[in-house]
Amino acid sequence: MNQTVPTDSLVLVTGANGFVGRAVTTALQQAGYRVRTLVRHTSMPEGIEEVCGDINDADAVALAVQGTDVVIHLAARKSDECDSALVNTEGARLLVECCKKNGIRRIINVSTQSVRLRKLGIYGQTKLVAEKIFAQSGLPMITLRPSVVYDDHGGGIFSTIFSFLKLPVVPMIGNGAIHFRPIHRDDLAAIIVQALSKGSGDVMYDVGGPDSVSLMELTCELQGRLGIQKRILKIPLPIAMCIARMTAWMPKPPVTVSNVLGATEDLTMNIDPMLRDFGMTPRSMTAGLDAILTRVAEEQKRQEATAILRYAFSTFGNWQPSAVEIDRYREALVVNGIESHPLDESVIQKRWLLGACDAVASQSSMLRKKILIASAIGECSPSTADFTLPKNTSVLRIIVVSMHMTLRAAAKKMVGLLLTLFSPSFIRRNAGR
Amino acid sequence: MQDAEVIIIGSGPAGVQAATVLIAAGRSVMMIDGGKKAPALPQAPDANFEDVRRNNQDQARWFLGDDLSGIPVSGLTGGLGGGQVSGNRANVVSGAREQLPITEENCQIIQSLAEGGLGAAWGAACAVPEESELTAMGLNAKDMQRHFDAVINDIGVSGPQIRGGIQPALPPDLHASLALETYKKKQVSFEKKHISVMQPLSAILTQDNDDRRASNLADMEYWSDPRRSVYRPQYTLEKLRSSHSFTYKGDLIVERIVSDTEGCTVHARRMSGGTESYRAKRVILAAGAVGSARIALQSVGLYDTPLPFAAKPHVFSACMHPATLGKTGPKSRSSLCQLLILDDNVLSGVRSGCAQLYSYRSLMLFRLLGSQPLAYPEAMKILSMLTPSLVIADIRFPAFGDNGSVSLVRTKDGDSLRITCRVPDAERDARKHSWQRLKQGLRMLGMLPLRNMELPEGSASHYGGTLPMQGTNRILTTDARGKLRGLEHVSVADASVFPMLPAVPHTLTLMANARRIAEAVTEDL
Ligand SMILES: Cc1cc2nc3c(=O)[nH]c(=O)nc-3n(C[C@H](O)[C@H](O)[C@H](O)COP(=O)(O)OP(=O)(O)OC[C@H]3O[C@@H](n4cnc5c(N)ncnc54)[C@H](O)[C@@H]3O)c2cc1C
Repeated sequence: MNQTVPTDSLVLVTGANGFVGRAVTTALQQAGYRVRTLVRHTSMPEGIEEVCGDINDADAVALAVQGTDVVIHLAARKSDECDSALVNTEGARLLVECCKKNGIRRIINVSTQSVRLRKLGIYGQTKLVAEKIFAQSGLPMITLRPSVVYDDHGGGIFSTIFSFLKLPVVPMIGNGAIHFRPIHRDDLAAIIVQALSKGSGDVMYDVGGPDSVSLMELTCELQGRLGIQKRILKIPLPIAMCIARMTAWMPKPPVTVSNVLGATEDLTMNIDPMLRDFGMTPRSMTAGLDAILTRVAEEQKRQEATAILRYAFSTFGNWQPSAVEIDRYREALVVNGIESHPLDESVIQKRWLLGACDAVASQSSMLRKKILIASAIGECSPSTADFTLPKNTSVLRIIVVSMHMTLRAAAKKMVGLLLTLFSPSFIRRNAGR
Repeated sequence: MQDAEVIIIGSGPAGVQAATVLIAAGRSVMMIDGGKKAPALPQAPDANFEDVRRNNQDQARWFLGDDLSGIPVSGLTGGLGGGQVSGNRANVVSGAREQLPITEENCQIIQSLAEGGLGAAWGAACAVPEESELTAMGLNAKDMQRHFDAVINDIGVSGPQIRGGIQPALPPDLHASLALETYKKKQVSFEKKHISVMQPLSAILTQDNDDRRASNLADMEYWSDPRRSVYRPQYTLEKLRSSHSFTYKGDLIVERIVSDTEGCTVHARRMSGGTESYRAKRVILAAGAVGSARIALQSVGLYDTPLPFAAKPHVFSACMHPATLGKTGPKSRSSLCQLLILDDNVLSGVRSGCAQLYSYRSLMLFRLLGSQPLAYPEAMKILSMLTPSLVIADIRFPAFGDNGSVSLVRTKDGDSLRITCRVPDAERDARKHSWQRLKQGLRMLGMLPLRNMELPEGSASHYGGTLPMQGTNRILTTDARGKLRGLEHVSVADASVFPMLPAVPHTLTLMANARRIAEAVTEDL
């Protein structure tokens, strides 16, 4: 079929700015390829060539394709949008034309499992048409059909699940029993890079992770690991479909018709050819989840550290701790053996809640210790010198400020006491121990 | 075979002074010591506290220590001392609890295995006690004068010119100068109440001396001292080490001394494992009043028999000084003790109380958070305005041998030193009265005691009286020349020999006496 591509070739990536695109450009660079990107706005890191323009902009696409050996096509509209057809199918058509003129050695088209559904949404339809355009072009092609893609940062499918887990009840389209094979975006990127140099094999691959899981299983697993116990609200498919249609006009609808259709049909994927031809096994769901949760926990700890440090100096204005102070604070938590008692997310997000908890916390509580540590760390930084060092001032000012502060502390205490009354468990969790 | 003519146990203020005298007299000395060293750090900033706060990116290293252990997360135990024996000075107390087990009853004892002992953390406040106090300590005031002169000359002491050899006093800070003015104006009423106020002597240089330099009034004494202005026993140890007749053995815990007709064998355990023994004609115990008592008890194998113990009691009065509200005062200052307020009313022949006054400025706000009722952010704001007007009076009373006891006990984990403090009621009352008088004195000086804290017995880290100089023949007491009864060829050079401790700081006296004892040992050799 194809001729292989030498590793110093110039590779064009469309949609380089997207979730998968960013991982792909990095992987290409690491593999030694020269990378050119077609992006709508300049945004690429150092060392990556950029052509600015839309996938429907003939001049830009022609310019981008000129002189390249390979094209990796990632640019697409993912949800059902009014210009989905324009971007997904017309974009493909334009790209194919330009490629033909330039004698491209290989095109990697990153499609989707959605094209295999019996009932297609706009996304599936347009991507399927695009696949056909590429297939009929006669150009050397490899088409990859990935399942859902995820990442350590909680991007992709997991951002959705995490944001759902924050709601009072966790919504679920249908019964959540449809299976898919989530794949880490770095693994997908690696497969895409492998696809460039692959000598022989198929022209079309199902791409997915080693584990076949359902949304329900994933949600339960995550709930278990995060220690959350929320009710799952199954939204019957017809109702979900109604919501999708009714909210289609919104710029960011909560659910699209394609989402609903995707939750209707169980697709059996065959990843054996992928495993055979790409010489790599994507990481397991467990490994992926571990990494994500570590990231999430790390992110939460940083947020908590920042919130507490800022809180400790909140009477001095808007002080921002630097990375040094945040790291030092966290180190001090470890030194004192109190790093494993996280605060509720709401307390981290809302300063007044933190204040109320502080005001009713006992001297020996974990929270007070954390705030004391934050005060110490913050006070030992040049950035707080201006306001914590003594200044010549008037006695009147000292009296007024002291009264103001005392009242402020009293108000916090009031709120804290009210909270203790209404939600003793919340106070116990955050201000107790 | 003999390792040295004299073995000295301990490198604290007592040990190094005794060694200095013996080396000067041409004797060979081996010093056996716990010897924990301070962490090796880059050169400390030689800048004013405010400039360090404003500019030094690494300031947490000095204020909290590289290990961040200077954050008082588990409470401010030991008062001011808490800050001085954590962070970069954590070595002063580290390992001591594990290596030297104690069982405390009604008290809190600080032990050290550091190079320099507790002197590696001390606040350098000095005093020459009055004649009556020296007598109560078992000393002859006249005899002691030349030893005081020698120590003052050796370590460098500044302060009021009450005798020769003292360097000019540190300039008093805003609190101290206002208070001294008031004192001068109202001297008559102070005299009526038998209260006197003065600048203290301090073991800090105000004039260069060899390789140590005069204080630049950077207000950083509690955190770093790159000029070595404040005396530390380690500096003397450095000098001793350059002498051929001096050997230093660190990492050792002395367990027992065995005496025979020729001399003594000192049995020690390496902290890193193994045992070692050394021989000398004479041994000088300078392991601190608690440490020396332990070694003496272990050597004679005396269990469950209490020795007397005097731990100097202390209380804190945190005061507002309204006259200074809103005024930061001069930036160049020292954070050491600014003033002594003495309760000259006599109790059992000695002055009944002494307040050491410290200005809070450079001691960091966060240290105060735990001892006030408000939420911390509000407290930080108020404190940032009030600390320049905040004065801490660290008040101490005399301590007597009957205030407590030390005995060696067997526990399931091996031998332990049981230390008990039981203060007789009459004495408790006397302290209360003295505290009242001193608070009154503070008010007369224009300082309002806001918060009064009684601290656990023993937390002032001034101990003595365990092996007292007495006329009796009782075992484990000492004669006037410091020779220990019941253990041949052993003398005691630290505060163990003082039957009582005066209210004023006594480490200067302890060092002077160590020189006296060392002289006696030299004569006997
Ligand atoms: C924070 C603080 C501030 C202070 N401020 C003042 C002040 O301002 N003014 C003042 O007069 N005093 C002050 N003091 C008290 C002063 O430090 C002590 O009085 C003085 O250090 C006692 O000296 P020493 O030589 O008797 O014993 P230490 O200093 O206790 O030294 C004992 C030595 O013996 C060694 N040792 C102990 N046991 C053994 C063993 N079994 N084997 C081997 N070696 C052993 C240790 O390693 C150590 O080196 C302060 C103390 C502290 C902690």
